[in-house]
Amino acid sequence: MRPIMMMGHERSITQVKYNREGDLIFSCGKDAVASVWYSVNGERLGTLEDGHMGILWSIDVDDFTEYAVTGGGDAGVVIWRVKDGSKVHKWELRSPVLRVEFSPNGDKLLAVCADLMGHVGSICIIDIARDSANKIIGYDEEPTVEICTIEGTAPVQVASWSYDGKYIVAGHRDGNITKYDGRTGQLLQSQKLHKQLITDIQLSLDRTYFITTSRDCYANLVDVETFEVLKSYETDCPLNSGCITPLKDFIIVGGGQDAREVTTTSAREGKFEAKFFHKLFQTEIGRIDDHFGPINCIAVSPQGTSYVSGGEDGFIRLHHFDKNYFDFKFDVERSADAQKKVVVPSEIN
Amino acid sequence: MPEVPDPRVIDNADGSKTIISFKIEGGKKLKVTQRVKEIKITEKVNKSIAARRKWAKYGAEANSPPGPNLSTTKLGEELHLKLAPSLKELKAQEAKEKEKVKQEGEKSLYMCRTCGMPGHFTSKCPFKEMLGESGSTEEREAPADVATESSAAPMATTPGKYVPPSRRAGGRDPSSDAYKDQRERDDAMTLKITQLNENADEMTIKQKLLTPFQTIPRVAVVRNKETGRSRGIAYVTFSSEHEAETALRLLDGRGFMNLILHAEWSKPKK
Repeated sequence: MRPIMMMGHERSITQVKYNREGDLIFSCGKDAVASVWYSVNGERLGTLEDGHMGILWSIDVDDFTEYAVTGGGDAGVVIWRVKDGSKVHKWELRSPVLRVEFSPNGDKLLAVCADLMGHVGSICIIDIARDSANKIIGYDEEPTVEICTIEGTAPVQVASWSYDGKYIVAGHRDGNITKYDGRTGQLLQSQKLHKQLITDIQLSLDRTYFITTSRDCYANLVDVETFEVLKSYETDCPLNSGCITPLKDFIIVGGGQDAREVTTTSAREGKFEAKFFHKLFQTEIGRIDDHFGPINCIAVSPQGTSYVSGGEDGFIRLHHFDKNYFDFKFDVERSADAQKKVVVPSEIN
Repeated sequence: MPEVPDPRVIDNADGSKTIISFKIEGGKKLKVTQRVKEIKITEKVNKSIAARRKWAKYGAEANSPPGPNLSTTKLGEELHLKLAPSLKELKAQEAKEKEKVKQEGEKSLYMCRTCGMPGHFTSKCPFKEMLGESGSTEEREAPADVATESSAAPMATTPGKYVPPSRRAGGRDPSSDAYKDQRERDDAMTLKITQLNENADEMTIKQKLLTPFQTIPRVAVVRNKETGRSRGIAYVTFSSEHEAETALRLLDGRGFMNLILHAEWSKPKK
């Protein structure tokens, strides 16, 4: 396969996202501009400009591909119309916004505020009113619910919605994961999962379980409802992002040593590869090594036919999987399939 | 100015069209005959995706023409995603491949003339003491019966005289069995599959018929040299004899693309 390099950002990439149909890719970086790309050929549809004053930490798109939302270091949360790139609304929150995400049906918005500028750190839930055609017709100026960091615990780093917007799962600076009620913001469950900062949380396609990645070199699969750790994956480098592939039972994680340590070591030690693990057998099955720096974010298309990674090097690389990816099976899977096939001819006779 | 007749379109029996048009170029009247076959390809696309494909560009791309902008979108270098059940196996696989390439490279590069083994130079042959610098045992025997065998084995006994490589000590006779093996493929792991559907090419056989088998080094469909149409025979080489045997049991008598296959062991050419 030949990756498509998308070089629309001048600084490192902070997040990449697919829309629901997998035909558009949304990316944001530290250069205050977000980009929208066609996934089929890597063509840029446009940029979302003049909304933020600094780093963009996060971007998301709703399920209808009507609106995108960005959150940045200027404490702003901006909603954009995807079709023409125009700004719809901007909220000014209390501190830099690390993560933004639309709820699955698009009527809520979560924003993770950092523990900076005298703020303790929080998850803000903002209500958005939509009409039957999913157009936004109104919004609350102030967050409806604000889940502030409880004193004595580490502030939240990443958060995401579960199915139906029922829960919010969050990853904290000290490696804890927590679950909140999606409507009231009430703390439901908490668990110590990692030893260090949790860098990313991404849910499965049906939003019933999620993957966490951490700087302590581990990735975990956790069930949303029971909060039970389903699987654990050990890697050889600090992780920045991970995703669960639909279609095949794999996970893809990426990371690398900290950006500030890169200059003192050679690229070979960097471990800047995207690593493929088998979701069930928990073994590493392959690697793709093409970034010059650590991978900051990874996303897989909801159709499971391509994945995109954004790196500290400022490049976004889009990989359309080729045949051997779809064909790959473990021997046990293969023999099970072969047995099924052997049965077929005898049935005909 | 001479008149130019209108182009004519003739529908051919096989569904193609012949377009005959005339044009004038440099004062000469030219007749252009084109044969065109129209194929309708239907592609199913989600309605919303199709609508989004037509959106106008905005922001920094507002004035860009349609299609990828070369300053922002580039094709990266070709890379292969190799997948193996574990990283250890993956690394072992890679090391094995490297070793193989290395060995093959060495084999073609040089070969010891003393013992005939690839991988080391004649001057560094470990059997030098035993076999002598450039001669073999038979060579030492040669002077004993010079009278009878001199014409058959002149060899390097007289220095400076040209000896063809095939006759040099350690050199291989082109008619020997060693070369014969290379010319003929090992048929032990090959099956001959007959009564195949004409439309089944190598890819379909590999993907539809032989999916239970992990690696298939070679699938060759026998085709008519002129028309390129399949003759319904294919030779399939498997990675092991055991696998070939399972395949033989599985494939013989099985229905595939409306025909009942017949599989047998491939026999060497006579």
